[in-house]
Amino acid sequence: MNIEAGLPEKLEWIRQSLGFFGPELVLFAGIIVVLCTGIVVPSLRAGSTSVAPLLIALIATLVACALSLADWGQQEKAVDLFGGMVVNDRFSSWFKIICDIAGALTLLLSWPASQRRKHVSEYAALVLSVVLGVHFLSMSVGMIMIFLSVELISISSYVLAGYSFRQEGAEASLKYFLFGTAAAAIMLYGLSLLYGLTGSGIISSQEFVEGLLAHQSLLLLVAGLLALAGFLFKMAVLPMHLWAPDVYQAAPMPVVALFSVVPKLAGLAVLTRFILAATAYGQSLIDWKAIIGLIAIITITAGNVAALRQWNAKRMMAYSSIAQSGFLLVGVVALTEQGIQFMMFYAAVYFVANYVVFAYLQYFESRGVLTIPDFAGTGRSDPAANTLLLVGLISLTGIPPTAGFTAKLLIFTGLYDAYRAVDDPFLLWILIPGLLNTVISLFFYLRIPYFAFLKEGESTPVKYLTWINFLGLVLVLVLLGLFFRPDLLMGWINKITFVL
Amino acid sequence: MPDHILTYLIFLPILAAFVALFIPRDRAAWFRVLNLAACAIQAVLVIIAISRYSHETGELRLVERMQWFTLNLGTWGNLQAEYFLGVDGLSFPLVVLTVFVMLIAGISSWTIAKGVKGYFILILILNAAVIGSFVALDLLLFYLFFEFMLLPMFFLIGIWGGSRREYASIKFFLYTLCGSILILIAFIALYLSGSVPGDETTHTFNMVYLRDPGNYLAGSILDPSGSWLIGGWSARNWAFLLLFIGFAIKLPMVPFHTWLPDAHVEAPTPASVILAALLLKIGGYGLMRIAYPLFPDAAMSLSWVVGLFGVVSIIYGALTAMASKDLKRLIAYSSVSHMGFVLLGMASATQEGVAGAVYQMVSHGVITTMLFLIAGVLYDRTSDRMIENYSGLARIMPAYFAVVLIAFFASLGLPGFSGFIAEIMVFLGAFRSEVIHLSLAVIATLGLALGAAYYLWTIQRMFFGTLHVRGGAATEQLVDLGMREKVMFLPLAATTLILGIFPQLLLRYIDPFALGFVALLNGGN
Repeated sequence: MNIEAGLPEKLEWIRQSLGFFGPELVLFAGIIVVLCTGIVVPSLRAGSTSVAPLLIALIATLVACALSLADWGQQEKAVDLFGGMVVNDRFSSWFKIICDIAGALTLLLSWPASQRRKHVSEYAALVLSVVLGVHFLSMSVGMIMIFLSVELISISSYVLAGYSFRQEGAEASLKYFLFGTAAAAIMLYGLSLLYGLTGSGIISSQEFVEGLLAHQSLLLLVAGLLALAGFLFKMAVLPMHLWAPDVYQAAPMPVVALFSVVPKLAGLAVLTRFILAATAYGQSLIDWKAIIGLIAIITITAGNVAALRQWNAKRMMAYSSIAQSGFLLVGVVALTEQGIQFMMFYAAVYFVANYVVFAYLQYFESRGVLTIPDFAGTGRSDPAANTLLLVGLISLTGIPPTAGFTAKLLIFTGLYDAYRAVDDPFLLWILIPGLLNTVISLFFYLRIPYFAFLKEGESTPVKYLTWINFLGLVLVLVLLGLFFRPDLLMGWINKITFVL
Repeated sequence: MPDHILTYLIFLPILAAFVALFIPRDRAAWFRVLNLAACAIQAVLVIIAISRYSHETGELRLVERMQWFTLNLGTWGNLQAEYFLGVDGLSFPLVVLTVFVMLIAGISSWTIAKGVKGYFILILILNAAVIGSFVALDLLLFYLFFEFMLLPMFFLIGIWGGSRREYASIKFFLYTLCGSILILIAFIALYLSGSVPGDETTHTFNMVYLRDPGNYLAGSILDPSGSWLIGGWSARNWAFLLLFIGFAIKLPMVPFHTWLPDAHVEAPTPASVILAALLLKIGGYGLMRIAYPLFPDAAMSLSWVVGLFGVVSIIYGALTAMASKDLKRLIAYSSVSHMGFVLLGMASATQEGVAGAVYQMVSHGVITTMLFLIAGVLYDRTSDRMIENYSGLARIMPAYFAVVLIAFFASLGLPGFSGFIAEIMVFLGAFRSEVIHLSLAVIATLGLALGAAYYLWTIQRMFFGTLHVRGGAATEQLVDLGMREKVMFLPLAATTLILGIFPQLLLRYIDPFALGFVALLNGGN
């Protein structure tokens, strides 16, 4: 970017760049409209209920998703926008599409509880802000933009975390806030050091990479680690995971589902870009891949082991999502085009499986089932819901015939491929804890079906034809379908190219 | 229609399971009839298959082959998975056995009273998964069916089992899952190393391609001419070992057998039957279909380990059976002992030994079905299976006694029954073998004596002597076999007799396979 450019040129860039910002503008408009609905519609102001804000927000996410899909065709190569601060490419579009759908599903899941919930329009606006922040973060390459997007996601998330309006919610929200602010400050410090070292604020630029190569020092390692801390916080990866269990346990279920997917994937996207730059096309002396690999192993193992001891379903899923972040990081460790493509496949499958699980956890929560032993006997009274939940959990474990198996297989293939390319035995050693963890994870993932089907309990039969079962069935069919025909999704992912 | 017999065999039960979803859950009889109808149609299909099967040579029959999916992996090439089914002298007898046993198990399931809908759906899924495992020739497809057996069995034991069902089902699940992870690691290594002939960029799961050493990429982990060493041992040996342990858990082989007695004791009778008669066979089948042919070099150098553990299983299983107080536990340990013969025959790498191992799998499938039904008959009447609680039963249950005599004598290897043929062939192979030590064969003969001992001792304790029943049950509860039970036992008893008197009926299928198998092993040496 030309810093010395005059005001008219800058205005011209902004005008041109806005043309590529369709989905974001829609989301932004959605936020405004939803907030205005809350003010203008008297019934909402009086505190009574209406689903209008949810409906508007839902439409906004769906339109944003459609526009992101429409962009796909024109994104043969990446487009720099706003003077290089953001990049519009298929890599970011992929995450945008997933997060838009996740946002839409979150709003759908919020539907049944909206009668009991206060401030629905603010709630919808906050969900939209998280999605908007994710749109920005997945496109960001400028440090300022990265920081702003992280903050947009974070601040909206802090409020959403406390949306149960209960004591624990407030506590979790505060914890999240304090932790998040510290993480953001650390990240900002790291980014500022990197800016000082390289002289460039845009991590994808040639200047930045050359600057890194010129300063292969301990300071760079420290600065890089500090910057990573912020991304890892968003992904809930060790050692930045401490907030997750408390927040997951206290927040409303749709919000937990949102947290478990959307900020995580955005963090992953920006982390991938950052590591790509930091390794400097393999010339860096600092072995960033080994660092990420180590973090991934520790995260997978610690997340799984901690999940073993959980008896609260939401808390268990919190540790599960920590462990799953580790698997996503394995895709980054490979850091080949295929490795990253496999990671994106994994991300999509993880998203679907997680939403199946959370949709049903919410359903059971509404029937008073909170802890895992509470599931006892529900398998008899409600076999349809429990069977669909079972498929979601099996997919998270990674057993056929679900796409979770294919995703794990591909992630490990990518790792082996990377190993063949650089002959670093460390990569091969990640495989072993990865596979062993599949066995550990089975213990806690199957604990819910175990109680539901095998333990006797009080329960009354329920009817099958509910909208939640319909939603669950659709998502489960996606999981099964992607096992039998993974090429349908990989065909799209293969069209994503990026500069390595 | 006959072009897709194997597909129909797999998908018919799945279709029936789907139909069952829409039947109201209180119509127990409908589910029984539905399952029976599915099994009967399968039986008809199998008869058609038998009539079309020509058994002169060892090649694959009834082959169905389609592209499943191809994944483009960029510079890494393609991943190709196929829908590839076929049977040969190894799998065809096992498929026939599966349909036969499933039919019997379906009739035996009529005593199940609770949760009939879920029960029959699981049985039907299991049916499809077992047949699929036996006919799949693509590793990914095989693994799909292999894993698909796990959950239905877990729930069958865990929901319809006895008092310690939860413990038993979890133990079963964990052991089998650990085994399948080991198998999966080997499969991943295979697909990373192997490729489609003439196209080095396409990685394949096709077992037939992976049998040919020329289809491995130069320098890949499992390249037969490569120099890959892990801990000073070639990667191919490691991969063989992973497959061996993985399938040995399923088999089960001492010391990985401890899940089996628990699972059997707790499982409902039909689930025990399916577990012992069919699921254990997947272990032996996997070794003979995947571990040995894909790694003939490693198999030949490690065959003595296979043989050694086979003999350990024979002796240890027999000794533990002798010490068992629970009739069902005794039968479970006798299974461990008898599956040891499969390992020994396979390890001998001779024509007779290998054919004997396959024969033993079929024969054990038939005999063990009878044995578990026998235990089930007693349990249905008194809810008590302790051997010491019964005495002099021969007097009040003559038909039952006759069936027990046939089953026990068949199982201990009396000439005239199928078990004798299988074991004698295994011994012929083991004594002649150049791969395993003679002492192993000699020790294994001890297993025959022990087998005779525990069976005869059991008969003596339970059926002879003065009539009395201890442990709370009344003598009046012990009524003799009913019509439904006789219908189940008759074909089983007839089969083991026919196979014992006319072994050629089965051997003509197995022999071409055994010839090819031994040739493959010696070619790789």
